[in-house]
Amino acid sequence: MKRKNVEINQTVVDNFERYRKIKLTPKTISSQCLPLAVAVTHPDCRDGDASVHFAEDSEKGRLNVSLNVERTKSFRFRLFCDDFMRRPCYRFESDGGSHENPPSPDCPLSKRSIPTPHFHRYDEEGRNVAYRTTDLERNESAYLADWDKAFAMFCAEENIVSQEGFHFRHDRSLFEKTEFCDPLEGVSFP
Amino acid sequence: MNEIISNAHSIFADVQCDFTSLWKMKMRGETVEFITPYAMLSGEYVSVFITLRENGIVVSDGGRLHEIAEEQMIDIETRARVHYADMLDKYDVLETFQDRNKRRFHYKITNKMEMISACVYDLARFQESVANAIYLDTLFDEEESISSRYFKTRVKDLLFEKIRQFSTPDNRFEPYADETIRHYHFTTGICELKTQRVWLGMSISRSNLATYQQAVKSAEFGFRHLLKRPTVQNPIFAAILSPISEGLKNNPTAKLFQADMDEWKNELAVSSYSYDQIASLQSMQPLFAVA
Repeated sequence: MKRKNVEINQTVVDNFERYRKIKLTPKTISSQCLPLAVAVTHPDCRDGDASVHFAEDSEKGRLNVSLNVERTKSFRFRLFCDDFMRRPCYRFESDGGSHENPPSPDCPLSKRSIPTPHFHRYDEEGRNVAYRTTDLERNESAYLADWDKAFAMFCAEENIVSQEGFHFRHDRSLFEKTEFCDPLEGVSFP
Repeated sequence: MNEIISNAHSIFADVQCDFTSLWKMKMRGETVEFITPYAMLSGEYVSVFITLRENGIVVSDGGRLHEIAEEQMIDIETRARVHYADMLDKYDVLETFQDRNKRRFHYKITNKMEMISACVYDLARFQESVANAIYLDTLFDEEESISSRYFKTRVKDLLFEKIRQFSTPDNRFEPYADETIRHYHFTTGICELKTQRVWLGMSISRSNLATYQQAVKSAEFGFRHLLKRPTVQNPIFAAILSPISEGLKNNPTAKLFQADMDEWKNELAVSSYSYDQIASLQSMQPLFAVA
């Protein structure tokens, strides 16, 4: 029985040019405000979608933003093209596990583990790859401290332009802490 | 003596150093996360979370294994059961289900600082092993995996095609999805813009017993949840069934699943279609005409 890799994205492999163009084509966010609602699965999270318009072709994009209003360093941005594939095409994760990039002849072991915050994309072989830009390396704490700055960085990386005055709309928590989520908070271990 | 042998000690020191550099640490409130060098098949490195409770030092998976099982739509106790139980035993790992977050946490607990390393090792190897079993479980059974995923993809592509085919300036249809619908793995949502009615379809593959059971269970779960916490008003529910495989046609257990499904389909007003019925639609009306 033939075994395949868990995370090879065949859609990307078969349509790599289209996948590349999704990133490279200049895009705009149609709305000026992105309302964020309480997420179904995580009461501390606020999430919402904005439509993304592609300048040159008929791709239709959707930008999903997810913030944690209690542990503000945990957030993510994801660019979807629902007509193309179900999973996000490109994304940014501020928190979560480190990612293991595939082996390559020039990549030493120490550089294979990519901690968060990082971006995700797929390579030509459909493998999910994580990376950090120089800007992110240099200004990591500033981006983790400010959602708007982090969002601007994500948009710059993915060639998305938002309108003047674009903002997120959500309630703020009374318990806000500039921290990462603690998954053991409130959990009892008998 | 070759160069490797003559430099063995310094090469060893370099390798140790590179391996060590894979370990990372992150502060999370009253918990510290250690990111280990053990990577799962998904590409994610295993993390362990350490905190202090009244009864001792707790080293836990933070509920991540449960999340992975959910993402892969695996019931960890039935599908990866043998391996899961073996690994719990082998590494002496405890588990607790928390109602608050509906999550199962795996952990070890100790009162001795010098035992933290052993606990970290055991939790890390446990997670790596069970997570990989979960991922492999969705792959090695290639025929089942291909046919069920293929069926879902075929249904989704077909419905998108129908949306394109039947959407007119006077009566537009669009794909519809929100976080809840995606979370419960609905295959496709269709919104009739004129009336704002939403049709939600779930594909159910009947290629083998395990897939069939999984699909029926998760479909029922999705429909019931949408009814309890509606994110759309009055959704129209539909199940799209694959042809039943030869091996299941007379299988008594498969007949039980069918009877079970007939019951909740009735209760939850879920219409039923085959792939061919959707393919031969001449308009969207039959899908939206249900009361």
